[in-house]
Amino acid sequence: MRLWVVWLGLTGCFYDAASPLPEDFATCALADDGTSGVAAPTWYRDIEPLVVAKCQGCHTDSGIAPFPLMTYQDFVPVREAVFQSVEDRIMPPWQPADCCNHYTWDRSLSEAERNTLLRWLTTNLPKGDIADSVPVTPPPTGLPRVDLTAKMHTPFTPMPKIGADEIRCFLLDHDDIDHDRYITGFDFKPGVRGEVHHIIVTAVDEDHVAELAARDGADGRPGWDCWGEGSELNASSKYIGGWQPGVLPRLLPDGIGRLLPAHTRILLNVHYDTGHGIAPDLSSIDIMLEDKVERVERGAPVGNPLWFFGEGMEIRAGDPDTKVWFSYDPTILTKGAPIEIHNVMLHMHELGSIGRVAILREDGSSECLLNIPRWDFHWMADYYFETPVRLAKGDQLYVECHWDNTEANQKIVNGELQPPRTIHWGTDQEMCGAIVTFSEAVKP
Amino acid sequence: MLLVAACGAGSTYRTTRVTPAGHTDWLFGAQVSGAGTVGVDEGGGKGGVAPLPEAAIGARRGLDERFEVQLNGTLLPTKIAQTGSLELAGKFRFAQTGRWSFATGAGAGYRLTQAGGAIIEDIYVSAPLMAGIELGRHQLVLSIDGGYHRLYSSGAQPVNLPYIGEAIGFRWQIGRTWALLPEIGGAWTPASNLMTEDSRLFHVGIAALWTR
Repeated sequence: MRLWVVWLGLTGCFYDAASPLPEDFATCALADDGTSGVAAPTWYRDIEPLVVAKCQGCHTDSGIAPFPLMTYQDFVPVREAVFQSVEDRIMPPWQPADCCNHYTWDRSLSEAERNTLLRWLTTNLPKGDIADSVPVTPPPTGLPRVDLTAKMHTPFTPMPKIGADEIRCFLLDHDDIDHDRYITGFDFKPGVRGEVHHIIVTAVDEDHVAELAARDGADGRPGWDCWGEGSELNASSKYIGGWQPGVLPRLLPDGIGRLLPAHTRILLNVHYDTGHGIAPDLSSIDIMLEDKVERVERGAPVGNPLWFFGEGMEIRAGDPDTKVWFSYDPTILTKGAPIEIHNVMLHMHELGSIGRVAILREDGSSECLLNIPRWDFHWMADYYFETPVRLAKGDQLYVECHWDNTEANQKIVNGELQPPRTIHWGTDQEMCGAIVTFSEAVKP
Repeated sequence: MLLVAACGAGSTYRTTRVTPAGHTDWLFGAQVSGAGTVGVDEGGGKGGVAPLPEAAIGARRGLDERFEVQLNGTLLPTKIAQTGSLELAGKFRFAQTGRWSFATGAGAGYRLTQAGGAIIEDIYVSAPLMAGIELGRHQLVLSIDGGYHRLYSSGAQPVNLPYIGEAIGFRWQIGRTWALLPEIGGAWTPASNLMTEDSRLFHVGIAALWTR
């Protein structure tokens, strides 16, 4: 009898449904009354630097954005559309909330910058004096050195399969990697910039290349349909890199590299958006390699394995706010050595509404890595920290996902709003997971 | 290890023989249980086996000539992750004819798995039905079983894993007091996993049984 009591007493005794973070974690109220910024902005002095830094990752000639914003003249016919999207905080697209962390290539506008741009758009778009031009350092257009180029072997013409989207995988052609090497730079070159929505690049073990190669072209088109289980999960274990419009060539911090094992093949997972055209795409990736590095960058997934099974991540039809969370100490991957986190990526699908990634410190404090208060699947991105974030043994990585599964938040497929359905983990359902890339920390 | 936290096999090392009344059999085993998937997915993820090796220990106490109670435990204490289970079970031999004998049982257990501070708890029940075929001093054991796991982890909804399975084992009697019990078994659950709509579990192990 006593044993039964013990058994019943143990049941779920470590289970806690309540998140350790408050709902208002890493959020801050806007303390701006609309008066900040430049009172009388001009193109040359105030606007052009903003546009180069915040807009031209996408708004280039033949870019994925619907119109270029490369010159002053480009603004004239679209000034109202630009004003509306900036006022509504739709553009520039930048999901992380203020008050969380600082990232490279931050496309967000400060309140002062936003007020300056809106003020300029509501006046006569004054050019100002060209002598006032502020020197702008153009963003890098490539890697300092290219040691390996991996490219699609045949142009691929996407077709709308899931709404306007298609997700396709390709084993890329590249020179054999004859010994273990380390990736220190990564630069994706979309073939048709306007239709490549985002990519995930992974390394495939030598043992599995033949099986995947057999799928290549099996349906009469290059590559194979990649809208299936596992295609995204792989990003956690063999992740090489990702890209979305606006992302610049990535150079890892000095002395740090990501292992590219000998004889692996590089696999490209492309999310195409045919809403911007249907043209043959022939994308490629430039990679910078080293034979030795001081520290190896690795990826740590943050997600509860229980979500993969049955009802572990059940999002019921009509539920306006289903929430799951998970935390663990990733230094089990480094035998307790402290780590430096360089990058964070959060992944959900279209029903996602709020997402957070954080560090729960052993002393009870917490530090925000990523806080997305209004999730938009179409602007999912990698975020690189300006300063690596240190995590010590005993600290935990934390991820939290929310979904809105009400009728108003459903996908439109073939012109029809889909009814809500109860869903679980799956590529064609929902996911919740973060990936951080890290290296062992330098000893203080 | 967290991924296979629900895959530990319960009430294993089956035999229809019952520990003599008033005596205790002690069991010391080593086993591997886990889940398996097949193939390579669209993104190059490999299928394969996720094994959970464990040490097992148990005590079987005979209450009368047809009924015994068992207390079973498993443990895997590694540096980065730990798992262990505790189970209370009973066995009843309800028929014996010629070389054949039949028994049924029921068990309930609790498993705790921990890695990096993340914890998965599993409470489970199992009910095997066993057929024993006497082969001289030895016994071949065929069994089917059904059961149910319910898993808990903070921040996730509880997961229900009903399952059915089968196993084949052998009681290799060595003298009067020692026997070796190798066993291999598989199970099926309708719960989906990362790669498939349903899941397949397995266990294989060997134990030494000492009758005191």
